This record gives sequence, structure tokens and C-alpha cells, in this order.
Amino acid sequence: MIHGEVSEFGIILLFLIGGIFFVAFGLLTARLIRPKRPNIEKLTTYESGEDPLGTAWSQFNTRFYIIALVFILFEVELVFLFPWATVYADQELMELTGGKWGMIALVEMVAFVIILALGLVYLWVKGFLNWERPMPTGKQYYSPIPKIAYSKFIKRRK
Amino acid sequence: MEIQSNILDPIFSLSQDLNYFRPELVLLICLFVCFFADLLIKKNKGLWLSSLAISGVLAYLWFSYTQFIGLEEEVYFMSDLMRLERSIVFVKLIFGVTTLGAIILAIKTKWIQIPLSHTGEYYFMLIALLLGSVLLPMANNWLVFFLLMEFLSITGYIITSFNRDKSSYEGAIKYLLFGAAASAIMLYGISLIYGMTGSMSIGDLANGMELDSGLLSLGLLFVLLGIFFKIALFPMHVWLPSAYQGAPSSGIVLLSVAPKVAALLFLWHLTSIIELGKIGFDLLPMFQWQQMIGILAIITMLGANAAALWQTNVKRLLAWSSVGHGGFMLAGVLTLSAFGQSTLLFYASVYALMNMGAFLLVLLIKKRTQNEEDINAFRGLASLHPFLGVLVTLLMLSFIGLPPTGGFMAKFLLFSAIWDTYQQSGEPIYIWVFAAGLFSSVISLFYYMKIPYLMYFKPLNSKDPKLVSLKSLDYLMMFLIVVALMVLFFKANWLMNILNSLNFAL
Repeated sequence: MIHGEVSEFGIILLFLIGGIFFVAFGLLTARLIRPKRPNIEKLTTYESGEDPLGTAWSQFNTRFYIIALVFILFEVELVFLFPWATVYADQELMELTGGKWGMIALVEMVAFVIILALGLVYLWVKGFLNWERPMPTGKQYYSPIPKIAYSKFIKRRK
Repeated sequence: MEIQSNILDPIFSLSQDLNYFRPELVLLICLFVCFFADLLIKKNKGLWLSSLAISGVLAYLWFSYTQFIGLEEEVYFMSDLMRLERSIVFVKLIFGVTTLGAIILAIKTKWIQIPLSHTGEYYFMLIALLLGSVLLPMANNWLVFFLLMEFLSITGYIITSFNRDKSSYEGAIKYLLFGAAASAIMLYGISLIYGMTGSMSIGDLANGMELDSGLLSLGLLFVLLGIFFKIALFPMHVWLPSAYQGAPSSGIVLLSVAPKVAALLFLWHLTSIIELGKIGFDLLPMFQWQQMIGILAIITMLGANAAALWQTNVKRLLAWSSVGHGGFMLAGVLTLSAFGQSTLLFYASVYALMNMGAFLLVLLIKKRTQNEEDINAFRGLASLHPFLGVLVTLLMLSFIGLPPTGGFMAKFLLFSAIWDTYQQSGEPIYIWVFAAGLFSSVISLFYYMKIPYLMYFKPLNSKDPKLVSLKSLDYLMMFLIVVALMVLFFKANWLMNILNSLNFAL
């Protein structure tokens, strides 16, 4: 049972082994040749140049959620476009179906992309993409001292 | 790359297959038109949206009608992914009429500040729900079936949460959690069935009988649980009262009829295959599928009607009654004969009509009591609106199943179908289902009659902030529904003749 070629799952195994080797090799060489002089600044968690404060379990604004949803929308679209691209206009399938294959594959993918794009249009028109900032409202302060008292005070100072 | 020749078959027959999808394609177009109208139109939005949705559904009804006339026998298309027979096309007509009713009720409903009809999303969801329930009975492939069940569930969750208040979210989250669990169980069942039969086609179940049937029947049981969730039958009904309480009334008109009947028709297809393949449903010895479904139908009918006795909220009461009616229709599936199918469809048509009337009533009462659907709002209403009192009494008689209404004929025909099956097979389970059905009809007398009782025999609560002013349109809709129910009693053979001609070959 020895085959000359690697099977489909064999390729995946090779990818796994290659990936592990690549990462391990990179980390190991870096460890061997780098200078090691840690200080407090270097050891803090990286937080886009800011000082990290508090725990990571804080509440997020729900507006991030909508942006993330839109991102996922097009991420998923991309994931589906790749396998589609490998069979779209496949020579053998085109010959078997007399050219219909390419047309149907194109129409199906266009419909898929349009439906996702409509989702974006919906969000846009309904204004879910607008980053609404809370409008600052002036604080209303009612002083217990009547206004006449102030003006009298100012007059006396003059 | 090696290509199996049959994979490419759908490409060659595509234009021919699309012919069978004409009503659905109309709905799809209507869906997108509503979507764009919602985004683009600013002036007279409610009028535009509702007229577009109504004309779309009318066009759909017309295409379904031509399909109904044109179709003669069961056809399989899309390389056996879908199938179509006349009973399915008949159900399309019922769903279409129900959707029209739901849209008209939506026009009458105030949403948070604006009328419900001004929100394009609502129409989008109603029509999507219609599309899903129309396609579900046509499924002949486990994947297509699962996809459509999810489609129906997700539109259902959104419609349930549409009122945007506390009880609405509560109902929707219960529905969602239950639905997610049911879907997961069902998907596992489908994978078991695929593992045992090696085919995704539902029709191939009948070939799986030589296999060890323990796992196969476990898979079927899991799939049945998923279907029962959609019909809201005994073990999977818990979400229903809260969901109905929270959802907008116009939405429930469709939500309580379309997915339910669609899932029942699919169940009919599945059980006829189980029967055809003589699949021993032997999780327990001496336990055929008839026994299992029969026992569940009995528990559902008795339990739901007993639970409805304690309800004081009209919507919760109607929710329990909807569970009970689901149990009756499940008893219809038990018969599995041509006559049984006709009676089941008759029952479904009557049920759709009654439900529309009942939720129109809920909307009227809601106006009166400021968003509380308490049953006491009916107190003394008959002295103010004597004509409404008569109409409501007739409607409730139909719910109980008493003459002179269509509800009586529906129950009468269904019970005679069960009796016929009992005479032919002699299985004791049929007589038990028969008795439970009769007994639960008697129980239902008490809570349905509570409404006319309050209307006639209780004094009007003078401290009411606002008395209902009924428009003539309200009267007209209620009147038409009750007249249709009466016609179904006096001229029941009109509908029965159509239904009997559905499957001449069976």
C-alpha cells in the first residue's frame, strides 16, 4: 500500500507540519540571535500605543457590533468566492454542458453578491452606518441665590 | 476530476424546472420590490408599501391558481430536490389568502409611533414567511428541508420580536432558544438518517428498510421533534404562548397557520414514506409510528385545551387553542388516506379563517384596553355592539366545533376519517385518538364560551377609559369571515369536492 503520490489528506498534513516547522524555526532563530534587555515599558501589553487600563471584560458600544456584522457579511462572501473561482469556467464542465455551465455559475454568483450588497445598501440608507455621537447638552444649573443678589453684589463692588 | 453525469442534469432542465416555481418567483420579485420601496419612497410610504405587497400576493395567488388547474399528478423536479402535487398547490392558495388577511390587519395596527404598514421590513418578513412555508412541503431532500425550516424559523423570530417591547423580546428569545435547540437536534437526526441510508433524498428512506433500523428510527425521531417544534406539538410547544403574547397580532395570523400547515404536509409526506418502506419504528418493541404520533396527538389535544382554561389573556388563550388545533390536525395525519388528506386540508382552511377572525377581534379589544389583551375587556360589549356580539358568538362556536359553522364540519369530517381508518385497520390507537378529540372539544367549550358569556351576561365596566368605536370596515371584515365560515357549513361539499379531486390517483 505504498503510493508514489501524496493523497488529498496527505497535503493537509504536509501543510500542518510545514506551518509548525516555519513558526518554530522563526521563533527559535529569533531567540538565538536577539539581544535580551527587558524593561517595564517593553513588557506591558500592546494596546495601540496606549497604556492598558482595567480588564479586557469591559462593555463595548453596540455600534461596533453592527460594523462587525457588515465586515462578516463581506468576509463570508470572499470565502465563497474562492471555491467558486476554481470551478467557474472549468474547461471540462463547459464542454459537457455546451457552455451553459459558465453562464449559470456567473448568474448564481452575481445573485449572491447582489443580495449581500443589498444588505449594505439597507444599512446605509437606514443610517445604521452613521457613527452617532451623543450631542453634548449644556447642564442646567439652578442657583438657589436669586439673580438680583448677584447684580447688587456687582454694583456694591463698583 | 471525475464528474458524475447526473450532477449536471439540473442544468439542462433548468428552464423547464423554473416553470414549477412561477408563484414563488413572483413572491421573490415582490420581496425585492418591497425592499426597494421601503428604501426609496419617502412620501405616502404606507400606501405604497401595502398596495405593492397586496398586489404582489394577488399576483402570486393568480399564478398558484393557474398552477392548480394545470397540474395533474405528482411531479419531481430539480433532479428530485423538489416535488409538487395538487394538495401542495391547494395549500399555497390558503397561505396566500391568509397573508392577505395579515397584511390588511397590519395596515390597521399602530406600531410604536407609526402604523405597522409603514415599516417595509414587516412586509418583507411576512412575504418571506409565506415564501418559506410555500416551499417547505415541496422539499424532497433533507438539506433543502433543513434550509427551509431555518428560513421559516428565522423569519418567525423576527416577526415575533417586532413589537419592540418587553413581552415581545421575551417571546422572541424563548422562540429563538427553543428553535435553535430543535434545529440542532433535527440536524443530528438528518445526519443519522444520511448515515444509515446513504442518501440525502427523502424518498430513498423507503429503501433503507434492510438496514439495522435502530439508528434510523432514532434519526427519524429527532427529525420529528424538529417538525413538532414548527407545528408546536406536545414536547416542543412550550415557547408558543409567550411568543404569541409578544408578537403583533397580524403576524400571528400568518405565523400560526402557514408554517404549521406546511410542516404538517411535510409530515404527511414523511409518514407516507415510512409507511411505504415499512420502516419498523421500533425504538420500543410493539411501537409503530402510528402509536407514537397518536399518543402525542392525544396529549397535545387534552393538555392544550386544559391549559387554555386558566388563561385570562386573550392572546395566550388563542395560543393554547392553536396548540390544540395542531393536535387535531396531527390526528388527521394519522389516517394517511386520500379522504384523510382532504379532511386535513378542509380543517386547515377553516382554521386559517377562524384565526384571522380571532386576531381581528384581539386588535379591536387592544384598542379598548390600551394594549392589554385582558379577557375582561369583553365585559358587556354586546350591549354596545349587538351585531359584533352575534358575530363573535358564531366565531367561537366555530372554534369549539359546533353547528352552524365550518368548524363543526371540519371536526366532523376529520373524526369520520379517523373512524374510517379505525374500521379498516382495527388498531386501538385510533379509537383513543377519536375519544380524546371528542373529549377535548367538550373541554374547549368552557374557555371559548367565556368570551360570549362576558359579552352578554356581565355588566359594562363604566370606568373604562375609552369605549370601542367600531368602524364599518371592522364589521365588514368580521362579517365576511363569519359568512365564509357559515358557507363552509351549509355548502361544505363545494370545498370537499375540490379537495376530493386533488389526489384521484391515491
